[in-house]
Amino acid sequence: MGVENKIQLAVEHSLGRDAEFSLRLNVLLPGRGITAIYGPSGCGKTTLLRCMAGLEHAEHCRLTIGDIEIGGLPVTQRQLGYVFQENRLFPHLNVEENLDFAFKRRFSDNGPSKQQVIAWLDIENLLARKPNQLSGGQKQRVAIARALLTAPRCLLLDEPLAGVDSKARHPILRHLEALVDQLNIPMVYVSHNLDEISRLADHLIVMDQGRLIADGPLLEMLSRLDLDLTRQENAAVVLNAEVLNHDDHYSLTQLSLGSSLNSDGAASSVETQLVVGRLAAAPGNTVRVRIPCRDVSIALERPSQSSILNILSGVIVGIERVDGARAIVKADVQGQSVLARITRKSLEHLALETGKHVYLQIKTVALLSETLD
Amino acid sequence: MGSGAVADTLSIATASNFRPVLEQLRETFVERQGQDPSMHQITISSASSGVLYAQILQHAPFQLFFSANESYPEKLVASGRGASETLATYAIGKLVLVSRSEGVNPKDILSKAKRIAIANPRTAPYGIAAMAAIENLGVIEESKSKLVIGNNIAQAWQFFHSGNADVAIVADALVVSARGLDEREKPQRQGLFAIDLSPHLTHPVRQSRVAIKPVNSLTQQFLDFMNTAAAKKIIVDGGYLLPMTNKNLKQ
Amino acid sequence: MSLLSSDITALWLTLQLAAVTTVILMVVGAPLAWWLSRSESRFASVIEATVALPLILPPTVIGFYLLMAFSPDNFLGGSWLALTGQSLAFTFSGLVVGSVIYSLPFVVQPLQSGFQHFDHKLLEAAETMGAGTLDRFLNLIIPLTRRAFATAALLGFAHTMGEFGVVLMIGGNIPGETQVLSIALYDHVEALDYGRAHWLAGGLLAFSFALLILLYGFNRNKGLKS
Repeated sequence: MGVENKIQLAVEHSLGRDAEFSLRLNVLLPGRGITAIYGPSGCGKTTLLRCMAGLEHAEHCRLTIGDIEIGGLPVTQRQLGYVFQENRLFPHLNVEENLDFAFKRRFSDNGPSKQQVIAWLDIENLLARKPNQLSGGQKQRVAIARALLTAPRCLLLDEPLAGVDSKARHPILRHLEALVDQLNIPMVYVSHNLDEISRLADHLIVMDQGRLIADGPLLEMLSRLDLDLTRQENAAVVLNAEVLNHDDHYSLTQLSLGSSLNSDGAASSVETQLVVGRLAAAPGNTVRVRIPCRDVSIALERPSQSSILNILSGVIVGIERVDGARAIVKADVQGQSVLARITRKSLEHLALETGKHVYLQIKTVALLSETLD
Repeated sequence: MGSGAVADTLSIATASNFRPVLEQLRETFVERQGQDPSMHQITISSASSGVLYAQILQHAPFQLFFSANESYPEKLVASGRGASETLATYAIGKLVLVSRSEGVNPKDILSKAKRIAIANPRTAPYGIAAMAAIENLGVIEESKSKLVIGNNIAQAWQFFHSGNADVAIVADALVVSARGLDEREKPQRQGLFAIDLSPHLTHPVRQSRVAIKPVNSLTQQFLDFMNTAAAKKIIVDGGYLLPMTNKNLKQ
Repeated sequence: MSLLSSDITALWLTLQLAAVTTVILMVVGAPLAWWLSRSESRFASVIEATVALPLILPPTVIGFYLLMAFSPDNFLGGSWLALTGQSLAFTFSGLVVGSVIYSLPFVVQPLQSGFQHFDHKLLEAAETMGAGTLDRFLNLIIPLTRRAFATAALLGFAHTMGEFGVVLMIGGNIPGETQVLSIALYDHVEALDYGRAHWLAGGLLAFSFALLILLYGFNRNKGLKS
């Protein structure tokens, strides 16, 4: 399973007696990392996942991973791990036995061992318990572990955190992030939660009403002005940043967008740096940060005397009206995009247009790849 | 009829094989009385003699008991429940061998038969008689494995009638009433042949009756009626023989 | 008054009849119950009604029609005779046919109920893990519907042990072949042999009671929500 083994997916399917809902899609997914499928409820993302697994008998389903044709195979032979929204652990078996069920039927010996999976999902102390003695979060961790033990060629996850309360989500998300590095199999992750997707996904597919709206790398997709994504109230961009150093006196960490050295060898300017609360990650590591559009404001001159520490400089590359009162401005900062949601009044007042050099004041920078603990 | 006269009831318990005849007797009796039928109630219950005997012992409310044998009524008299002066043989049952193929020799018919249906020899007098006849004909050993035991002769008849048993040994009274029903309902579908086995019986099936104490006047009237020529004709037409006079205690 | 060998024979015969009938009903009844639990066709309710019939019909009705059907002149009896050279009436095989019909709902209904309470979504999960149909049936469905299987088997068995009306109509009371316990008991009563009747009646009562205690104890013990 090399990096170049892309996943080709073409599905045609109708649901309901009068074909009230139809699904039609043709898309190419990367062969590694996490691909998220995002869309409003009812858009068909779960149906799509089920078609991939063979649980729905689509009228037409072509699924190829690398050069292996999977679409025509029965469910039991597709070798796709599936994590369901309601975990579906077997109630008559304890955790260990649930894991054994999967392990005994594994598709190949190239997959992870029981010990590995137990360690990855941190379920060592749950092994003797029955599913009805576990919390929602614990059950999902077991469900993920179980799916992995079948040594699948691809892991499908259908809104796995939907039934998990918010406190328990973080640890699971952390485990999933770590898994991406551990496994060399691709994951397809269905969710309507942008926060989860922002944190986990490398690639994003946007769906609506059974059709593909757009697909592409996550960072790029989140800043696309033509998508509905960016018009949501909680729209935000995700940026990759490198840890520069820590400031223990003020309990802060400095991050750099782009490289820590610019082209002439000098240290990068402050205007491409972000300051966040003290992180655990060591300098040199890359972290993901999330910047909500509503927390970004634009100035034509570099503001001084402001309590806001995070001020980036960038160039406007796009402007889109959102509704009567508001607009979104897209600016390029060191090759990454930042979106700002401002009023139309300000837009006109500042005479903003593409190509203009502006300063972006950022009120909130959320860490995605770590909890602040 | 004078109002205020209390109506007598007469509940008759009879062995199943005698029921059709008894019903006819009741009909004739009531006509004869010429009375308002609502003044007297004559009801008939039928079952196997053993069951009825046991019930009467347990004080079931019957006034008259027509058994298919002699011993049950005798036992009732001995136990004090039966009125000894009413003990009498009312009919002698005719044992017949029925089959669908014509034949004269019962021994042959039994030898060729695959399934022989009889009533339970442990509990039904006609069953006992059937076994005796088979034994007397000398075919008891080969017949044992072919026997199919009905709860009573009515069931033995049903086994035969449904085609599951090719031969049955039952009371002639049964054949008479069955033929009557068949002719009424539909034309004979197959020939039905009955051979009298009485010559092969050392002990004929003597059917006795007794009245249960206390004997009311209606019961007495009915018993009187049974001694009349008209009643006797009905009994003979029904497929029975009449007992010899010296066994007939007149009351 | 102790048991005679004919009573022991009757007991053994009854146990055999109950065992054979139960096995046949479990094998035939489980797939039927499964289909009924998942079917959405209107035809399913017709089948359900048919299965439930022996619950409300007097056994004598079943016996009456069976006797007719067993006759060599009719389809069932005739084909059986042609196939095996034997008649169906008055044989153990005939009793098995009668018992299977008589005890059918006692096996199918508990199974159907168990299957209806079974979470079918678990089957999908097992499928994605590569478990085939038989695998899912043995490792998922049976363990999770154990109670239903136990109930079906024990009820079917106990019910057949107590069968009377049907056997009375089609059995012919042949010792060692069709004289089951309930018929032998009836015989003793008719013959006024109450001593032996007590042995059989009391024995059957104790046995049935023990069987039911076993069943309810087992079900309570398992405590599984199946």
